[in-house]
Amino acid sequence: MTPSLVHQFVRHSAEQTPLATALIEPGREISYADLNGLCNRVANLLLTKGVHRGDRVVLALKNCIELVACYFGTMKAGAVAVPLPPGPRSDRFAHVVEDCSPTVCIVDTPTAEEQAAALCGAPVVLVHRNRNGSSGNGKHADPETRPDPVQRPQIQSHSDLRDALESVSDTEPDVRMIGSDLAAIIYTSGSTGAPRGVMLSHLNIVANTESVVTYLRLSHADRVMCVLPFYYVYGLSLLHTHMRVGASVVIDNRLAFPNAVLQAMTEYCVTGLAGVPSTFALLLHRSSLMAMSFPHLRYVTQAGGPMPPARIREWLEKGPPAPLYVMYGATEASARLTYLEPRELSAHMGSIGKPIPNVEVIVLKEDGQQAGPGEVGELVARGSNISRGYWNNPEDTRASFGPFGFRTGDLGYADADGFLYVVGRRNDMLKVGAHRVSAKEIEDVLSEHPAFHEVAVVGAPHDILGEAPVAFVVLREGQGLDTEEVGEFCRRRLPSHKLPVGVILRSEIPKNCVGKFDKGALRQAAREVIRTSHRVARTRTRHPSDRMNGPETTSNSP
Amino acid sequence: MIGLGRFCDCMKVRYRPTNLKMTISGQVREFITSNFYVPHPQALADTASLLEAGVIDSTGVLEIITFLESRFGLKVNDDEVVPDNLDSIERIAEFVARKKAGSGGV
Repeated sequence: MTPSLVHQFVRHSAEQTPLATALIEPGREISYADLNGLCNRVANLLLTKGVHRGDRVVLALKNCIELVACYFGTMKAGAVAVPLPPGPRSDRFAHVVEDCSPTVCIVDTPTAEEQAAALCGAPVVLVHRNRNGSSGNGKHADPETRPDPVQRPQIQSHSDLRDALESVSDTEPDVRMIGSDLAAIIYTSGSTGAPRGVMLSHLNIVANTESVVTYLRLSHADRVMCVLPFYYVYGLSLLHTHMRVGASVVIDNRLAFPNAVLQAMTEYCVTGLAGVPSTFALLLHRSSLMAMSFPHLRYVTQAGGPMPPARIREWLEKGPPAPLYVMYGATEASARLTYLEPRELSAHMGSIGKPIPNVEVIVLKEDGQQAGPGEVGELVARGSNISRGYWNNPEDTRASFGPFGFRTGDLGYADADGFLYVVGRRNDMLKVGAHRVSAKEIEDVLSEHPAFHEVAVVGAPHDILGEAPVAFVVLREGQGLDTEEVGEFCRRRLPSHKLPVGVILRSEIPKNCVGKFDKGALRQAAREVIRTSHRVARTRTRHPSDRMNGPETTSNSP
Repeated sequence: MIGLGRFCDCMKVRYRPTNLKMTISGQVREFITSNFYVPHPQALADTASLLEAGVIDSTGVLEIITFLESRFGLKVNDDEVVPDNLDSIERIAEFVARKKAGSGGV
């Protein structure tokens, strides 16, 4: 029977090909039969912990076999999976735990240690220790130098995930569910700054999965390299689609070392590679890609924001000869909305293609009329894959989900042949690597700095990430600036993808007629300053201990 | 413009001046604990995986490479950017020592 619920992907493949490899980590793998059993254990454990249908279960682990088991196991228990970035620097963790009020949180050791205050409110906390049993700081950390635990908030009570799973059955629990039940809530940055939870039903995810499987022609013979995190909808989509067809997913968290990932691709005879623009930038410019061959590679997919045509051409020229699928989507679409057939790529460079099966995308003008060919408007999407809205947030839901469908916030147009192009954003969002980041959330954090009078953040072009935040700052009168201190201030409050690559001091920030920051002028100015700093960097080196007082002369030009 | 210690190509990396009398390992440790978010620097073991501990990501690796190249006058080749050379303070220090001795990375 065709799966109609997300967790049935695993059970279906376990019935069809029980011994086939479902997941591979470097040095470790698991079959579909064993993965299904592990998912059942998770489900039974959650049920014994008092989880009911519709309850939320927060999952903050790095990509690993246990995370996958917890994800599908949560759904087998009838609950809703809420995957989150793990670790001490997840700035949204506390907000999300408060917003979705989970019954259970399953976290790794560093998250348990550093997010203890947020976890105190969760009824049940299960901690997954790293395979070597270490804390995040390494197995050889000297216990004598570990910080005194009494100085930090302590979780009231928690259990070890692995121990707890040993004590429960691996038989399939009997929980009745329907397709319109929620399967997952994926938190994403809203334009107002606060993260908002995109509610995805089983129906949403199953519909999108079937479409993607169809156009990528995925089969059980496929084996995809996954470097994308599962708290990100593109990473989840890889998991869904490949579990659906009984293929294998190779989990590799070492993209920081691109050669290690490429080596794993050859070792495991990978047939598929998925990346965001920064993935391709790293592989092209920081690896031995061209010296290696990937004879089994059948498809490459790119999504997570626009990749410049120059980078696409470079990949086609220097990358493996497998066809490249340029794709476009949104968390609210369970991942995918459009794709460009590889054979159309050279003729429609820069296009995001056409809607995937079972999805409709129209271009809507500001007056509510549908745009004609070449006319720019907002991309609005309809389909079984579209979310019903944001958790606990009727206001944003009303703003984004209208009578014509989901308003993507992306401005674009369709050409005469129906190929879609994205030209900009309706709201003030940045796309840093694959992360959608609100300028306002960074502005809000920087504004807490006592020396800053006014802060405006815009995106500026970046070699690897595509776009990166740059902050314009007006200092309070009489205030100087210690650059190291500002760096430390930001690092303590923002995850790395939200850290401004630079701060530009100004005596004032240009504003439009209604007093709002003129972001267009600021983007232009940021580009200009970065171009100048390239030149400066080649000719002089500023002493690292320089302190700056007042507006910097080199950055006062527009 | 003030670079905040993230990206090496277009901004100057902000790092505190290192004490030239320190060991290679000490200088690497100082750079990492000063430029990345390490909640408890004293608990970061020399042998701990920087990636696993969440100290660095892909841009962090690029920053470390820029630091090594400028501080120790090395050229880190693409094929040397592997965990065996760069994923812990100890491995980085050994890598630098090998490079300075002219025997290259792993």
